[in-house]
Amino acid sequence: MTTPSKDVSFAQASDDVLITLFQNGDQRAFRVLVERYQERIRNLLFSIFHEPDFVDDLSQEVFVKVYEALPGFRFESSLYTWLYRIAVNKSRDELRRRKLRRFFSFQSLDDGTLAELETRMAHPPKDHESADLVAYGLRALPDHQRIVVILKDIEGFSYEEIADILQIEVGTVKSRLSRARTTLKNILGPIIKERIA
Amino acid sequence: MKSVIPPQDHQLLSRLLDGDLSDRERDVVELRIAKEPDLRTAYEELVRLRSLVRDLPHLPPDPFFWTRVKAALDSTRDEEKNLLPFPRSYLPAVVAAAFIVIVGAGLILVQNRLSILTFWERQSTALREAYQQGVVQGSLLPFFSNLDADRTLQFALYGTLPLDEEKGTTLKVDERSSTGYRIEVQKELPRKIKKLTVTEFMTEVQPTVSQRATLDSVLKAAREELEASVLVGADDAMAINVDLHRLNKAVVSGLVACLQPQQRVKFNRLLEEREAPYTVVSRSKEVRQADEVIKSFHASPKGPEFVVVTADSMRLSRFHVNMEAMRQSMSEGMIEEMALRRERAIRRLVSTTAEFDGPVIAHPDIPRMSVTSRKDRLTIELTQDSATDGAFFFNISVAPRIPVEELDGAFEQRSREGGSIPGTVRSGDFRGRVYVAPSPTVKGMRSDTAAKLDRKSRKPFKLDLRQ
Repeated sequence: MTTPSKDVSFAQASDDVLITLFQNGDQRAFRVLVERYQERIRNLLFSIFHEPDFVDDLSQEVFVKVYEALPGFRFESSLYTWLYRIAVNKSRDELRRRKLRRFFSFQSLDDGTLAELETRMAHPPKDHESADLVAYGLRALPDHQRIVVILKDIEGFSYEEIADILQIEVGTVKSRLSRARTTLKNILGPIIKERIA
Repeated sequence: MKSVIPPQDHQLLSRLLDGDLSDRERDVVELRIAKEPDLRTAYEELVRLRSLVRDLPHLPPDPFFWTRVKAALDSTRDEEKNLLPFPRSYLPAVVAAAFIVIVGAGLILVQNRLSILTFWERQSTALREAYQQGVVQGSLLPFFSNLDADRTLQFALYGTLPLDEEKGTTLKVDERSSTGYRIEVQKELPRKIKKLTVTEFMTEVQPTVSQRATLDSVLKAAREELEASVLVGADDAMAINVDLHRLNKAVVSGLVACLQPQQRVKFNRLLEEREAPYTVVSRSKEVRQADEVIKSFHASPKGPEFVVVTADSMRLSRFHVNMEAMRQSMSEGMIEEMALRRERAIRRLVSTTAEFDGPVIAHPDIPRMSVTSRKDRLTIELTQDSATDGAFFFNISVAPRIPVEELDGAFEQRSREGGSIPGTVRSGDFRGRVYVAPSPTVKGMRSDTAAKLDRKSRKPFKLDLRQ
């Protein structure tokens, strides 16, 4: 472990150095860590939920959780994957809550999303609409498949890193990702065909 | 569009896309893609799909994100502030101490379970027997139906209440008993007393409008309390609140407490003129409100205790009296029933010759009670361990007025400098008023002379003799 020097610039310090400083009582180090990862976490959550206001609230909760858990961080994984694990777990909790709410209100958001998607797909989308449709398509995926696609194709994690973040086997990551892509490809068929043509 | 590619081929294409295949695997798959149009299309679609997903828009940067996170952190810290009355680090020790106390209390309870069980058994047995043996059966009704403010004041000042004026029956609370007090129901009227009406009382003390309202409230509450203190059951059992002797003193103290010092002097003068058996010594000039005074009427927070007397039994029991329900019954034509019960009860109780005398089980203050019924008089005597001659409410003592002729005897005169001088006292030695003060009030009393008098009854009490 690198011993933090007083001369180390906070902005240039590695994650491990900043964590050590924070664990030794330097609160400034936490701000640097937040500012280093805030946009990635915000965008990860935005990819999952597509609700900007809610994403800001949830991102704050993620960093509050990080602040509480960081004193116990043991450097067994990188801060990067650890941070994503917290964010993904927070997202899962929220998705679970929403599912429960849907259950009790006798509504099915998934059905609604798919129906809307099918209606919109009946007409060829304009360019600026494609992104919306892809986002809709992602939301139509089961939660566990959506998160794998986001971590791989948007965040660019390796299979091993995704397995670490989701605490699952690498083989599971591969099969889950394959199924997710197949499903999404079927949902977004017209757009994909048009672009290839 | 549904894919016709088998799932295992899809996974191979997916892994090829991610660069996860070994060189050999990649060569095999790329060869198949070149030969199989469906596989090639599927792979191209996967490439396009990844491109579409990667091109999804991002959120614009949030320059104030840290500010909001910091605010959220500060808010969380505020919520976690220690609300315990001791440092959070002491929590384990406090929990351990609480555990030890609970275990200790449990052990004590277990070790003393027999005596605790016996105590509760006695309590419940006394009450159960009261009902089972028919001591109080059926609905209870107030004994008095004719109480008004004048009668209430009369009872407060003289301790007597006419039960049946036509037949001359009276209830009398006699607090001069040397070891306790006596409640008597007698056929003969007590010696002629000079009545004091509320109008005369008000004329004498000249209350302000608000004082008048306070005094009326106190008298009304006293009347209700008195109504609830003497009851008659359907089986002619008579239930008398054992704190009845205390109630009249509480009412007198309460009335005095509502008055200004000058009005108190006038009230005392009126008591003397009417030869009331009490004298009032006030050590506080504070004027009290009605609510405070009315609270003092209730002796025990556990509820009243009653001596329940029938023609052939007597008990001391605590039971709850629902006065509202009782008043409801009265308004439903129970007045006649009350009169009937009252007459029957008095006839049976007073005319029967009977005598009971014995210890009271499980009562801390009243170790012994006796009931004598003979010669047209029912007497209930309650012995108290700590018999007091006076009552103390709001630093006002209400004590029996001792006739001057009874003052002969030996005394110890206490000087202001301390110590005491033995001597004798004769009624002829004094001119002016004589106040008898219960012993606890002598300390600190601003009197010229305090004396301890040994009366003929051998009962020790203290005097505040003011010339």
